[in-house]
This record gives sequence, structure tokens and C-alpha cells, in this order.
Amino acid sequence: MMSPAAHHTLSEQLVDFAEGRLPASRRAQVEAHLATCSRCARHASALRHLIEVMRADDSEDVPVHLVNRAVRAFRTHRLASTPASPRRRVVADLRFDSARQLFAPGLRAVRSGTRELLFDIHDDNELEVRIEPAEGGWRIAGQVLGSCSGGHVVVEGSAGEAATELNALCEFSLPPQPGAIYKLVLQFEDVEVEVPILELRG
Amino acid sequence: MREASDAALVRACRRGNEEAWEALVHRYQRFVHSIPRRAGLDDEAAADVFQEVFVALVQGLDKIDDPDRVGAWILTTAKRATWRTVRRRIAARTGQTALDDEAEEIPDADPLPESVLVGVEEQHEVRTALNGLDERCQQLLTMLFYTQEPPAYGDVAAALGLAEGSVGPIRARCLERLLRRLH
Repeated sequence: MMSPAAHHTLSEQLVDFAEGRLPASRRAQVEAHLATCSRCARHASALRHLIEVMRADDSEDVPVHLVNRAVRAFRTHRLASTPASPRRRVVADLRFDSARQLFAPGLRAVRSGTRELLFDIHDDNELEVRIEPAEGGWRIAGQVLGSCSGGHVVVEGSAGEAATELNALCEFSLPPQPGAIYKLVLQFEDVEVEVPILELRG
Repeated sequence: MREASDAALVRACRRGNEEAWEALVHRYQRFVHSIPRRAGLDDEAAADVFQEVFVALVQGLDKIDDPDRVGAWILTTAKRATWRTVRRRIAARTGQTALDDEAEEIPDADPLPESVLVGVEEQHEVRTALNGLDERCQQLLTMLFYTQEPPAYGDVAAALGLAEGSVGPIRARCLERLLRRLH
């Protein structure tokens, strides 16, 4: 049995051992001790595993804008769920459709290339929406043009739903959705803008 | 907030504490992002999954039964979002339509086997414990164990304003403290 003081001295050596820093002669001494001391053997094993986990961690730093967007999602959600401040509801008014099928509010996406739409929304602002094929579905992206200080964007339909936040430039990009009929909603602090029917189909 | 438990952060978020939400996002951001990346998804798709998970979390805060298990909830949500994206990509490549119910299933060749997820969880636990150590231990262990080519003790000492001979013993003490926080 080792004395507590000797165990303390060994503690530093165990770290060196676990890190693979000990010279061969001292390594053999430590190994001989570990063969007779189950407590030290467990400790050395735990240290070695910890070091392996850290060295194997090659995860990347997350882009700052992604983290900031996730942080802002809370404020948007809290504002969205505050019953004391009900929002005005505005239906977006279609002004331009690159597919030239102006059957607003029923909109049809075309398979080839990007389709662009422009809507009048509240307070002289405009909403630009781009729909493009992506990953076997459709990516909806866009930007609010005018005065805008952030907001929450939701697309809901029979095939699923997704949500995101407007970035600092009031742009958004939603994950690709399968072809179906959707409703697009932009939630601002005091107003909710709705594109009631957005049909994504080739 | 940095020291608060997951459950305490979730409860504070439910009360509308924005600082708690920020701490929760910072605690889990690397974990969430690494799941689609481990499945081989590119920057854009990983960003989509990342955003989807945190929006789902902020919307689902009140529905999480056990706030202590928010990490497991996040893992499941990130895994499913990753599967959906992988399925859509496979469908796009093969010209098939990704059905919504299929998107909830594990793709045939699971891009996120259990062993990978266990590794990601362990790395998250160690990084979370590391963030609870003092600044000097965090810097020292990061330099020695989270860099591809760890610097020599002399360089570590110069960077942290330590005597070269103290790097080894301080490193040992910091590792011991980290291990204690994990057990």
C-alpha cells in the first residue's frame, strides 16, 4: 500500500502517464503500481478517456451570425406570445410575379430557376419573396424592404412547417419544403403579415 | 447563468428570462451544429438544422416534461431535422419525392450511428464542464488538448504568463478539477 503522500505524488505522474508523457522507466513503475491499486487504475483510465475525448473533439466554431439569430429567436417568440399586445393582421398584396400568373392570393411556383414575387405590406414596406428548387423541394427566401427591426417568419402547410428569423438585413431563408400549399406569415412586433396561399409545385 | 443547471436555465427561460436563453444557446450551440456536420451536411444545410432546432426549442420550452433532460430533447430534435435533410438530399439525387412520413424515419444508411452521437454527447459534457472551470484552466486545457498541434510548454507559459516549470503541475490540477466536475 502507498501512503497518502505517495498517492499525491503519483497523481501528477498519472496525468503524465495518461497523456503518454512519461519516459519508459517511470512508465513501467506506474504500470506496476496500477496492477496492484484498483483505485489508481480506475483514475488513470478516467484521465486517459477524458484526454481522448478532448483530443477527438474536432467540432467547429459555430458562425457568430447563426448564434445571434438563435439568441434573437427568444425575443421574437416572447413578443409573439404576449397576449397584452395583439398584432394587426395584414394580408400581403401581390404587386409582381415573375411567373406572370397573377392569380393572387393563389401563387404557383415554376420548376425552372428562381421565381420572384413582390408584395406590398404594412406601412409602405415591401416583401420580396424568392422561390427556388432545392433538395427535391422548394426553398423560400426573401427580404423585407423598408423599415424593419427583426421578425419571425413561419411557413405552414399540409406537408410540414418551418420557421426562421429575419437577419440584420431583414432577410430570411427557410429550409426546403416539399411541394404543397402553404401559408407564409411574417410576425413583427405590432403587425402580422400573411401570404395566405403559396403553392409550391412544379 | 454560466454555472446554472440545464433545468434552471429552462425554468428561467419559461419565466421570460432572456439571459437564461442566451446561456442555453451558448451552452448547446456547438453540440447542435456538430450533429448535421457529423452527418456530412454542408454549411448551408447545417445552418438550416441549427436554426430549426433553436426555433423548435424556444417554441417548445413549455412542453418539455423534464427540464433536466433538455439535452436529450435537443439531441432528438437535431437528429430528426438532420435525417429529414439527408432524406431530402437523397430524394433530390435520385429524382424521387421525399414523403413527409418517410422524412421522420432513419435513412437506410444511418448518417448518425449511435457511436457518433455518444461521442458528440461526451464532447458536449466535457466542454460544458470545462466552461465551469476558472479562466486559466480553460485557456491551458484548450491550448493543450483542443488544438491540432499542441504548443510546447514554453509557448503555453509565455502565452499565459506562467513559469514554464509550472505548466505541467497546473495542467495536472486543471485536469483533476475537470474530472471531478464530470463525476
